[in-house]
Amino acid sequence: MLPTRAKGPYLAPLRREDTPELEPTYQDLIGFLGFVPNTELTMARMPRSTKALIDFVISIYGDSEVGQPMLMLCGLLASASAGCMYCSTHNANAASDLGVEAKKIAAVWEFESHPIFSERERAALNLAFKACQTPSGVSSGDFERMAKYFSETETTEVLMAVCHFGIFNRFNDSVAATIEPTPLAFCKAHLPAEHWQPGAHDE
Amino acid sequence: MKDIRSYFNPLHRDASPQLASAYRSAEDFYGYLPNYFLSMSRLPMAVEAYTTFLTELYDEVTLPTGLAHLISMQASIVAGCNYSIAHAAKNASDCGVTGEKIEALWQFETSQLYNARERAALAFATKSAHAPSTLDKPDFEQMLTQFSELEICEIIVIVAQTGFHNRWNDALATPLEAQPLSFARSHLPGNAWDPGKHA
Repeated sequence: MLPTRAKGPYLAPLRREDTPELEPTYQDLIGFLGFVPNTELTMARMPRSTKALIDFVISIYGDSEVGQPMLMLCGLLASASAGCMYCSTHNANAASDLGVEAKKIAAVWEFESHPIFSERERAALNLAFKACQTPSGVSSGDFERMAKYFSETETTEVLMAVCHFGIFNRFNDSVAATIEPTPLAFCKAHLPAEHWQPGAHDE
Repeated sequence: MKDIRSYFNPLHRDASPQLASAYRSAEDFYGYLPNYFLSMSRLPMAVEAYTTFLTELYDEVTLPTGLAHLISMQASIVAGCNYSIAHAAKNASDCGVTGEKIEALWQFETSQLYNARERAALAFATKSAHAPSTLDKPDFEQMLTQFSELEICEIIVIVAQTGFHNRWNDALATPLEAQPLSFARSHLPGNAWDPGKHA
């Protein structure tokens, strides 16, 4: 389990009205996730970077060929693999919002053996898990496995979704961002306690 | 073992004419077009958006740019990505950090070339780059005696952005370009850095 740290946030989120220039970005986030995450309210001290980062996120998920549910499951496993419980929570909740059943979300840690996952899904989750190890655990065989089920563009998309969480995992875990009520309630109800605990990110 | 690049080939620069402007921005930033932009180019919208994020971030940062690149280099050392280390080292050199100081980054806590403020920023960045993060509340309280909240935020965002660079390039074993490879071979300590799978 993760080492115990003081409850966050270590860097306070700004109020939404403090950065009116980010209002269009906040509206994008409400459309994407259903709420304005504490991540962006905290990063809002750097409004230009915050806007550009969210535009980058939307460019990955906006017209995904692989599909957002698969990318969210990859993001969940990637974030859990990197030890960021805040990002794990957001991905799990977003996958549920997109229609992925809760028992499948909760089974993501057993992706190699659990019958709920297809071989195609396993190939993507395997890449997600290994790409977030430090240093990277990815080797040639992982790309061979992807090539059986995914086009090169789709593989790029999966890897992009996983790697862009390198930004959010480090940011949110560093500031110990507080998880918002809706995703927190979902994860407390559905995720296995041996793999997920809100820790420093608890409300 | 077969080279993983043969399983995931970057597109040629000329294959993405719509990315000409993004590639020019990347060249302005790095002084050359890094290979990782070509390996992302099957998603042209993401390449454009990432390039904007990278350039906006370094433009918005109020910390000295040389220190910003040293922070990124330190985050890459923690992540063990030799490709990213070489990029950040070359960037730091290009904005005036001496080769001697870059080489001494592995000893920033004791080297005379680093002042107290730089040491605090780099020690904080080290904890921020660990997965999971090893930062705790007292680290922030201590930082606030020397840095503003904005500067602390900047350090974390630089480390965070580097998190993408580390994961992407370490997964793909992106080959290092001639300029950062040559700089790193001449200036980085051989016992701490080698191009490995990025040669």
